[in-house]
Amino acid sequence: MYGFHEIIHTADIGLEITADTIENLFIFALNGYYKLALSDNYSFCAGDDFVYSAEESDYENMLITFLSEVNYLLMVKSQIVKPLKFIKIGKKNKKYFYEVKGETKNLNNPAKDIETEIKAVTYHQIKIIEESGIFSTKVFFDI
Amino acid sequence: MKHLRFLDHFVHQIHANLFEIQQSGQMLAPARVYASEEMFNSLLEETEPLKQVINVAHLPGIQKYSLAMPDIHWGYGFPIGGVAATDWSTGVISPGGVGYDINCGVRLASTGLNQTDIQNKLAKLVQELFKAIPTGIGSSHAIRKLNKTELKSALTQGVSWFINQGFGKPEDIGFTEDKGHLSWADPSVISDRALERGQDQMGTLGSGNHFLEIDVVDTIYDPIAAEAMGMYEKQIMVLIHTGSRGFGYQVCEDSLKIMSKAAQKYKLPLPDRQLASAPIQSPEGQNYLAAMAAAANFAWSNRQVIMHLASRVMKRVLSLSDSDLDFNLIYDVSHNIAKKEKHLINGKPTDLCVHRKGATRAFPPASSDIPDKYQSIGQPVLIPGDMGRYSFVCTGTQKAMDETFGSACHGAGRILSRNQAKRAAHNRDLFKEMSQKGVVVQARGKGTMAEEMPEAYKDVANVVNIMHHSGICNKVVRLKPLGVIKG
Repeated sequence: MYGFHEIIHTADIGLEITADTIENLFIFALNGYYKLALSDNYSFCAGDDFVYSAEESDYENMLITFLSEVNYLLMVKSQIVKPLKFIKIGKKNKKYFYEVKGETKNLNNPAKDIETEIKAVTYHQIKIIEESGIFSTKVFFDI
Repeated sequence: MKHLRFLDHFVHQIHANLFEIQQSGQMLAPARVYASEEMFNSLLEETEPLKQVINVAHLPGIQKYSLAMPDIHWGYGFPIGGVAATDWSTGVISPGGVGYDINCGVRLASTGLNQTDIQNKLAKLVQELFKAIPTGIGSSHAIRKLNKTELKSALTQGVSWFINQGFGKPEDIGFTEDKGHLSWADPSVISDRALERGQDQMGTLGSGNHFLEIDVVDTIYDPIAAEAMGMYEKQIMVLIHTGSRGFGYQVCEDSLKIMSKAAQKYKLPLPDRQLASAPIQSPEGQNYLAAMAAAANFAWSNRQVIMHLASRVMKRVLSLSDSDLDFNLIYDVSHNIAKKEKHLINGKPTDLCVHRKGATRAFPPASSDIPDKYQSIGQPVLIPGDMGRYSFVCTGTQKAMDETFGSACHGAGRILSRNQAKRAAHNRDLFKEMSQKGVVVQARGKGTMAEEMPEAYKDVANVVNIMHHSGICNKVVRLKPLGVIKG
């Protein structure tokens, strides 16, 4: 029931993600992004600690900026982040904040490990819905 | 006249190839779609592209119509094939109306060679072009890495900076849209991350649908215009399709973050976040224009450098001198851009911000914005098809100025999603199939070949014919691919 699946888009690609918590929504989105971008048998070696925090006006902006950061790391630095752990996430004074921790791993052979160039994570139709404790959203990527 | 419905909207057919979705609800203008009946019926079923044309009609300051060309397909924010003009004084500018690949565009160069001159060396030529022009994900180092000072100079000066470094001839500048230079580019508004991405990507094709083709002039429809462009049957041409690479993607991404906040700040009622906008005259709007112009200058320069690298390879592989190769730029067009242009609104020349997202400028004869050489025929409009069939060179018309803010289609338009294409390609040797059609292809991977196979696209001839029969552009020549390199 929870997880991600690919949405058909004529020119680009999208993900539909469902999760039991907002943290897991982000984690499934990350896993889905890697599924789209990486080849099935990618390999990596150890990298550095990864800490990322941001403050946004809503969860939608938060998700887009988070995935954009991950996209930058993969497409420009040939790094993946895993595992990913939420240190904090929430809302205070009309601002949504979060902090995540993980490790960046360097791909061994980026030319083969990265299968699809993702130019960007789009804001197209982005809306995170919470209904009866279930979080869901769709994210489209420009390729 | 046919009357139809799309969701809650009335649609009427204006002529065989033009449909109008009437203004209703919060729309600030009607929407117009250039399409055959068959194409329009498919769009009615598909729904998303037409919803996007309607969404664009909500942009504050939009003038006349939200427009879609016949290569329309589902994008994000704007549809691909979308055109919208907003009032320069009171309207908004939207990065969603330009796209991530800012100033993605097409460049066509002619040679003094005939098909028979290269036939025996075609495979070698394609192989060497593939080596010299980096393709694929994160491709880099076609030329030496530019330091940040050099990159900023290039972003400010555009194509001329690279001509001064020896990448081409001074006369190339005049045959590039806007002379390969938007003067309001300002590198000071560009993030360090964007600069870092741009430093080593000049002269690279990238991935996806970007390509360099060796084409042959296959059919001439308008001999006068073809002659004015210096084109003749069986002549070898080079067609390049690419944009501003990671630099442009980063500029767009950075801008969208700002525009997303600006849309809230200025209380703009937008139906899709990807249409995030700001008033053109606001600080956010002006900064986006300055950053977008820098990315546009990067893209024109990128195509200039690639053209120069291609000429070097051709001379080496074919053992030719400069005068033997006789390599000349026919034209370079942008199809992802927003620019200030003057158009008639209620009979009065008015400054507008024309967004073209997967649409090509198509200015008519006697336009002051096109080279002297093309004053009598109109601006060359370059419309690539797929790698197995053909591409078209057309010219702009006065009707385009009157109806579409001087715009035409930009390509064939996808019909299969990338996954559908991969499924259709399963167990097929597409390299061999292309070879049997007489096209030598070098691509980074089988994935690209599958995604980009000819069946994934509409037949570009159908798209171009709609524009031609609507009087938006005139067909001049058809090009057939002989050799292709892809990411």
